[in-house]
Amino acid sequence: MTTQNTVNDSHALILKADHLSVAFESEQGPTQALHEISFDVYEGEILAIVGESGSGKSVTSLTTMGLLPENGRVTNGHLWYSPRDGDAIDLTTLDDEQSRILRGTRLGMIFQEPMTSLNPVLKVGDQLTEAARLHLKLSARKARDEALAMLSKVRIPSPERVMDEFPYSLSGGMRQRVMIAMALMTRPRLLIADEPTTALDVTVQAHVLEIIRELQREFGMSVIFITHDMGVVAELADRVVVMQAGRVVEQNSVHDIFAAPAHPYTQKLLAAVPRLGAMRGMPLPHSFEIPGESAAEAQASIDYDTDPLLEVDALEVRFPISSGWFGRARQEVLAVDRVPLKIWPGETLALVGESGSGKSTIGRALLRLAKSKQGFIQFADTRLDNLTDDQFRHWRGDMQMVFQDPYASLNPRLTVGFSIAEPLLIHKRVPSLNKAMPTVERLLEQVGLKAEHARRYPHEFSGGQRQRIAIARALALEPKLIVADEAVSALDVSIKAQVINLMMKLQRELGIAWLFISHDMAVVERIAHRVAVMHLGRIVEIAPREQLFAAPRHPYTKRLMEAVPIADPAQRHHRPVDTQEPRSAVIPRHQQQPPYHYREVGEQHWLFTEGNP
Amino acid sequence: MTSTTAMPTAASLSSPFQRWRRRFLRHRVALAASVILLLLVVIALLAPVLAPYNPYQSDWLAISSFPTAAHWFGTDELGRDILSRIMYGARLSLWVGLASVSLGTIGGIVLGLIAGFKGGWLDSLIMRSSDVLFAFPGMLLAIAVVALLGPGLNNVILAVAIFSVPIFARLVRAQTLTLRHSTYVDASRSVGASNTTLMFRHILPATLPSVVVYFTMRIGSSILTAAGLSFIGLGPEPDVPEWGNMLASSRSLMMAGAWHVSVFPGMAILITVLVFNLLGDALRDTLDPKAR
Repeated sequence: MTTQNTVNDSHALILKADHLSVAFESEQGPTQALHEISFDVYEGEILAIVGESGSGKSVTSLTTMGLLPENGRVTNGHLWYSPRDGDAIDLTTLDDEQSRILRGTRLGMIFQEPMTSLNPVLKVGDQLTEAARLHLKLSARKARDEALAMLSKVRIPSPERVMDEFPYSLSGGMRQRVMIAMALMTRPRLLIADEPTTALDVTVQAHVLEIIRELQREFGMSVIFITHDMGVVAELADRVVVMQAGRVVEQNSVHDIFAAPAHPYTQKLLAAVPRLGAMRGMPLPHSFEIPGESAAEAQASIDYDTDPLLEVDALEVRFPISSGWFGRARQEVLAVDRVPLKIWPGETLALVGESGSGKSTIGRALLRLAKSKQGFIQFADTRLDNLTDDQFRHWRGDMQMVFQDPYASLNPRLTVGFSIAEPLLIHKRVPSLNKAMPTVERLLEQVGLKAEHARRYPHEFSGGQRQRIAIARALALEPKLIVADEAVSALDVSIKAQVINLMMKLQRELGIAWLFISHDMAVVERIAHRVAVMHLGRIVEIAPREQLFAAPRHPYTKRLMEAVPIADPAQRHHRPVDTQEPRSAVIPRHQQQPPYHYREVGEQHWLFTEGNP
Repeated sequence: MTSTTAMPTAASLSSPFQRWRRRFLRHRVALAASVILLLLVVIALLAPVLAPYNPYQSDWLAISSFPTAAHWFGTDELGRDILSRIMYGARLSLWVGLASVSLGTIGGIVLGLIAGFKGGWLDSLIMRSSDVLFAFPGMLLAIAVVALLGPGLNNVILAVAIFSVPIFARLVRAQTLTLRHSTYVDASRSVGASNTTLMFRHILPATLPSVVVYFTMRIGSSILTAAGLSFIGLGPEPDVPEWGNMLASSRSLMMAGAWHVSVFPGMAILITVLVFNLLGDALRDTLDPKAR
C-alpha cells in the first residue's frame, strides 16, 4: 500500500523564512551560519530540511524556536509565522517571554538525543503534564488524562506504568516516543523534529517515523523534519529543502527532488546514498559510483575451499552487572553467546545487528579489548585464544581495528604522524620516529591525504579525514585483517561513500580482509562478500550477501530489512507499529544457555536453529 | 582518491601547547599573577644582593622601630630589619611550597595512575588509605607528622607533602578511570602498546592540565600550612627568617601597638598565597579541556 501526503489545498502559509541570515560570534570573529535562506512551510505538510553536518539545518530550527545560543544572532531577514487569526509575526523580533509563550503553545520540538533530552530526575508523567498545565491551564487531573491519551497515541505499551517511571528505565525508542508525546501535549501547529531518529536503531526508527506520520495526519499539523538521511526523507516528506554550507541550494516536492535533482550538490548527495537493492544481480561487492572519480570497481571473488584466515568457534562474552559498591554481581549480560565465525583472506564479512546485539563485542573480543569467557580463535594456523597477553601482543600487528568515533580514536595531544608511527615504534619495525616518517607519509598518501599532514594535530582535520588517518594507522603494520567497528556510521553520506571506496580499494590492492561491523544494511549490501546477522548475542543467519538480501530466511533478518528506509518516495509503504519493548540479553549469573546449532539452507548459507543437531 | 573537505587555515596550525600559550597570554589575571610571581622569585633568588641588611644582625639603635627611611618596614624586638627578613623568608616559603607540593604531586600521580589503571584490590587499598588521610584536617595531620619526626624545615616539607598526596591521587585516578576506556587508548592497545606506554604516553599527559591547576593552587595553601606550623613552633629554629616565625615572635609587640611587625609578614603571606590561587584559576580557565 502506498500513501501520499498531499499538501493542504488551502496552501495557507504557516512559516516563511525570508532572506534569513544568522551569525555566531566566536574567538576567531563572527562566522556566518545561515546565508539569506528562504523557504516556506505550508499548513499540514511535512517539510524535510536535508544537509550534511555544518549545513545550517539545526541553526534554522533553533532560530525558529527562539533557542539560539547567546553568541548567535539574526543579522538579516525575517522569519514570518502566521497565526490562525491576525497578522503574521516576525519570530526574529520576539523577546524571550513572547517566544517562550509561542514555544509553549504553537510550536513543538523533538531533539536528536532521546537519552539526554528528558530530565533524568523527574517522572515521565510530571514532565509530560508540565507544559499542558502551564500553557493550557489544565488541572492536574485533566493534564494527566491528556498525557495518558497522548502516550497511547505514540503507542507506548501500558502508559499508566510509564507515567510513574523515571526516564532511565526506558529504552531509547521509548524515550523518543515520550519526547514526541511531550512535544504534542500542547497541540502545536508546527512540530520541529531535529534528527529525531538518528540515534535510534533502524527498526525503532521505522516505528517512530510511522508515529510521526500518523499524528501529523491526525492533528493536521505542519512538521519541519531535519535530517541527513535521504532514506528518511523519501519515506516521510512532502517537500524538501536541501541545504549546504548555510545556503538553500534547492527546494522542491519530494518526488521531483528524487526524480530529477537540479543542483549538483543534490545530485551528489543522492548518488552517495546507499540504496538497499542497488546491488541486485551483482554477486561481488562494488565500490560507489562517485561523480568526478574513477569508475566503480568490483572486488575479487573468494575461494571458499581454501583455509580461512580467521576461524572462531563458541566465542562467549559475558559482562557482569554489579549492583552497588560491594554488591556481588547476580546478573550478567550475555553479550556474545557461543558464536562461530570464519573469515577468508581478502574477504569482507559484515556483522549487522542493532545496538546491544553484541556485534561490537565480537570485534573487541577478537582483539582482546574485551575479555571473552571462552572461545576457540585460530588465525592463520595459530591458536590465539590460549596465548598470554604478552604473547598476543606480537599478533596484534596482523589484526587491526578502526573505531566508530573519528574524534575520539586519535590522541589529541600527539601529532597525526606520531599516531601513525606508534605501531611501528612499538613493534620495533623502525628505530626512531624520524626513520618512520617515510612510511607514515606513504600511508597518508595511500589513504588520500597529503604527506605534510603528518605534522598536524587531530583537531585540524574533519571527521572523514580523521577516519582516513585511523585507517592509515591500522595499515601501518600491514595487517591481514582489519575490524571496522561502525567505522563509517558517524560520517556524512558523501564522505561515507568515499571512505567505503577507500576501504574497498585497499582490499583490492593489499588483500586485506575486513570484519565490517555495521547497523547500516544499505552500506553492508555495497561492501560485503558475506553477511552475518546478529540478534541478542547470537548470529541468527549467515550467508553470501546477494543471497541474504534477496531471500532472507530468519524472521529477524526479514524484520531488519523491512525496517530500512527506502530512498525512493515512489516506494513508500505503511509499516505496522510494534509496541513491544526490545528484549535484552540479561541473564542470571553463570546460567547455562540451551544448545543451538546451524542448519545449512544454501551454499554458505547457515540458519540459526534451537536444540542439538 | 581525493579529500574533498576544506583544509584547515594557517591560523589553526598549532600544537595543543601553543594554543594554550595563546589563550594564557590573552588572560589579564594570568599575566598579572605571573608578573608578581616572577617578582617574588627574583626577590627570593637575589635576597643576598637585594636585602639592605643581614637578616640575622640586630641594629641595637633601632629596636622595635616603626618604619623609617633606614628600615622601610621597621625592625623587630631584636632590632632585625623586617624587609630583609621578609626577603630571605620568601626563599624559604617558596622552597617549602614548591618542594612539598612537588613531592606530593609525584606520589599522588603514581598512586592515582596505578589505582585507576590496575583497579581491583590495589585500587581499593590506595583509595581507602587516601580516604583515611582525607578524614584528618590537613593541619592536624601535619602537626602529627612533625611531632613524630621532630620540628625542622625538611620535616615540614615532608608533612605538607604527605597530605597533598591523596588529593592528587584522587584527581589522577578519576581521570585515569575515564581515559582507560577511551577510544584512543583502546586504539593504542590494539596496535600492541604495553601498559606502561598507555599509562605514561596516553593517559598521564591528558591528566596533566588539571594536575597543573591543582599543583599551583596547592602551593599557596602549602605555604600557608608551613607558615602555620612555624607559627606554633614546629618549623625551623625561631631565629630563622621564616614568615610564620616572624609572625610568632611579633605576638607580644603587636599587643604593644607595634603594627608593623605583624602586618608586613602577614602581607607577604597574603600576597604569595593570593598570587598562586589567582594563577591556578587562570590556568584552569586557559587549560579548559572543552577548548581542546
